[in-house]
Amino acid sequence: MEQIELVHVYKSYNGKDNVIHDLSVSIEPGEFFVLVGPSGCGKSTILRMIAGLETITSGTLLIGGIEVNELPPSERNLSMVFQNYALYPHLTVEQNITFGLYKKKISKQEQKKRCLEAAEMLGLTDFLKHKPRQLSGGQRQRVALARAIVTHAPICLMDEPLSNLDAKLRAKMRSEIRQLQRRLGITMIYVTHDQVEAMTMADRMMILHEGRAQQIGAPLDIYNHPSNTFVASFIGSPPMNLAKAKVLESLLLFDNGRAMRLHHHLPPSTQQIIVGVRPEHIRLAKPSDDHFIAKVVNVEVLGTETLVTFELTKNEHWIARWSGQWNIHAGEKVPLTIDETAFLFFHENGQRLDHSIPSYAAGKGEHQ
Amino acid sequence: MNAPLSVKSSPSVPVRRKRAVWTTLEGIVYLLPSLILFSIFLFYPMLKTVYLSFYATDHQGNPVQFVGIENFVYLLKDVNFLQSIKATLLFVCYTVPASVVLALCLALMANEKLKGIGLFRTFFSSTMGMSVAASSVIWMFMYNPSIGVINKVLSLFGISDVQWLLDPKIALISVSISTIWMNIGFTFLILLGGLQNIDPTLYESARIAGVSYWYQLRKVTLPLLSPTLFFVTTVSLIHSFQTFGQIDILTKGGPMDATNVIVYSIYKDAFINYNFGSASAQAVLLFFAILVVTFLQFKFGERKVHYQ
Amino acid sequence: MNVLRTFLLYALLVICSVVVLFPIVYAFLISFMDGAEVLQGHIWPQKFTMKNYVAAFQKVPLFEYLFNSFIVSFIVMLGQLIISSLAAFAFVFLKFKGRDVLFFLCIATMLIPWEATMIPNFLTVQKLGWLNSYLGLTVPFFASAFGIFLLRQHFKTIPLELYEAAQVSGVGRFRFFWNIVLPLSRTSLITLGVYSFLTTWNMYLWPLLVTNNDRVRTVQIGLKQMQSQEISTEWGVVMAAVIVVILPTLLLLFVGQKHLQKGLMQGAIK
Repeated sequence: MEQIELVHVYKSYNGKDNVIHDLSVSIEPGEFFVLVGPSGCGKSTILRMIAGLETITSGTLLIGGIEVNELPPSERNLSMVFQNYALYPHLTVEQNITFGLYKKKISKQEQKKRCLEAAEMLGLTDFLKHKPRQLSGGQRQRVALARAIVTHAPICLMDEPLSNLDAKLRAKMRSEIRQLQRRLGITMIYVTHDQVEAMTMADRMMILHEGRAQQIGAPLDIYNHPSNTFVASFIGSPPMNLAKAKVLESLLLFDNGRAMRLHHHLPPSTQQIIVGVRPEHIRLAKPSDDHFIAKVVNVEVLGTETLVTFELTKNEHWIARWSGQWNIHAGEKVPLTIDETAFLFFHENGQRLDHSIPSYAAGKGEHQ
Repeated sequence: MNAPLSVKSSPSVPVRRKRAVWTTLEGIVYLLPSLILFSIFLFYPMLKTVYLSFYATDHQGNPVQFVGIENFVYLLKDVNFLQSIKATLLFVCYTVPASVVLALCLALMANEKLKGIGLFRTFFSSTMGMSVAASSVIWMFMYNPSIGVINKVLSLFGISDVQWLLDPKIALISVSISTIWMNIGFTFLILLGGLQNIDPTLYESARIAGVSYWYQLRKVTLPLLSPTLFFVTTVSLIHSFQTFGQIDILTKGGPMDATNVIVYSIYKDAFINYNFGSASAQAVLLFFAILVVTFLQFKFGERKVHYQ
Repeated sequence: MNVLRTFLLYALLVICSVVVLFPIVYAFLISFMDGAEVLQGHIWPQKFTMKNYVAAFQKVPLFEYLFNSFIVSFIVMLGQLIISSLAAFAFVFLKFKGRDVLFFLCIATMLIPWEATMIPNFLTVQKLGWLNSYLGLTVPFFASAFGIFLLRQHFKTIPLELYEAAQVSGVGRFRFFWNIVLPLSRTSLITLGVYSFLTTWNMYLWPLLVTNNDRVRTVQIGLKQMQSQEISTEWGVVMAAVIVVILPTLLLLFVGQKHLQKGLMQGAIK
């Protein structure tokens, strides 16, 4: 088990524009670390730099405390699982699994043993003589995993390994991969664009946007304390509701004249700010609550929960998420209330304003 | 975010350069056989041909005296060479359009979904497996004025004694006909491939729109086939400039130089008359002719071509 | 309407087949006639005789010619496969400075008509002492721009991830080439193999230049030889030889037609 560190890493393909901008992070041994961000944010590039498939333009990559910038991929002692699995179509499952082992000077017996071990672990024992094309998507995925496992490399890199699977299988493989990583105790670096995958799998994760790290931390910390509006809207589904507002004493003034009165937690300035609220913190108001009336635009009943889209202002729609099934229809006007500790405040430029850190995360987590 | 460690953050350039050098060397090793062979048997002889074309040579092909563009000037005034150019151009005009059009018709028919169509495809492509020598020998016999099948059939219509290969007016056409036949297999195979590459849903949507066969041919098939047609025309043109075997067997350039196409003329000058300088000059002209054809094709052909 | 159309199509297909196949069938029929019948200009032999075939092998060393052609075609095929696949591999999987220049150089060779270089090539081969030898007949054709293109086109369809996966697991480049790339490109290799065998077997001008004795002479030159010696008297024997010569390539073509068609398109157009 080895630590992986990136120190002020930059990547540029043309020598001018940086695809990766000043990235520094330290990934602990045995950690499940997820790189998450929209497509084109540079997450795969980072993974490929760690693998050695891309050069590092400047900065240092350390594995186990040793600079490895110039080591070829094969000498970095890691394994990698590709998005399309990269299985050799003309080799059997067994040959695929053991293909990379010859270089490591491992005896035929040991190869066989490891292969069986991995196959057992992943339920592939019956398919060892099959060719990849005879396997289902999930099985191919497992072969790719097995190929990573047999190397006994302490570090495993995965590049969107689940994106070619259907939703059901994805959920299953998610927990399988997580269990596997725990069982083997390897360090995992996992790239995905799917924030649900990131949230459910990661010990810690890094959110990337346009080649820059936005935030690094444990999933819930990031969910509860997003450091900027990008993170706030990227993590969580439906995303956090955001709207521009002005602060006037204890009033929040939204663009089209709607105002909300808050008792605490207002940022001191009177400048333009951005207000954010998670959908689950918008409730139907009881008569005693401070409330505002909003017109319902759309209702999605999902069985366990109901998503209510309402007009915050004329051209700004917010979503509320209520557990259970609600009999509400578009066009109705409903009284709503927001627990004011749930408000997050961001600077116009997107950075979160520091003072608003109520400690609701511990108590109210219906998202757990 | 702070850097967890302060480490010197410049990549070690020498290591990287060393690796790049390695990759380059490895690449060169893989390419070396091709490069050496291309150099010895293509680039060097091409330059040598150009070089020789400026010299008078002895019978072993050694340059004896620099004569500048004399070889070329002489050629352009030489009646025989002009005749050879004329024969070549005529030959190209006779063979290329006919080959492409005929092969296109065959390919269109063979692209229909019918039972046993595979057999017909095999038939139509069969001339590709025929060597020039074998084909020429067969055609030589077919053209035989007294016992060949062609004159036998013609005599049924009261036409007798056509001297297919001996009549200067007809010989080039005779050679062209046999050449068209030899070309059809290859041209057909390529065009059929092009037709099969066309997305079948396009035909289906045309069928739903209820357009006629000819309309579909003009508006869907031919435009989509144009890259293939373009390619096949270029290749046929170049091939026909390089014709040799059928001439050597059927007519030996005769009668009265009527079929003395350029490659045959080069061959005769170099290997029968041992006039390497003049032959080289002709080869240079051939090279430029093909170069020009290729460029013209790409310049003008490309505009009319629909690329996917 | 539809039935009529189908019928017309079949009729057309049959007529075209007859026209296209006629010379081959005609040669085939002639090869079974005895001399007198040939001179009478029959199309269908009254009595099928194998004499011509026996004569073809006895009067000229047809068997030797066939053997020579086979050896030469086989060597060229092998040479092209090896040398083209190595080059194509470098062009697809190795990134290095100057690669594109070298690639352009390879394209450029397609612009040089082989006939324009035959004079110096003949002199070169003469100087090397390769006249009348298999070397002279084969080596100049080992490098093929067409072959490099065809294989490069196919190699490019191999997902780059396979290469990267090999790199991560420490599989060497040559091993990757040998164990992954070549087996995955089987169809293209077959195409190129069939194509180069066919073209070499049918080659005419070069063997004519560099051979002048029966020891290495290929079958195409043998045909020419026969035809000019036996002319007008023994056409049946000549046609028998023709049939023997075209049989291997026709068979090869029928077997490899699908491959060939796809491959030629790929190598040419993209």
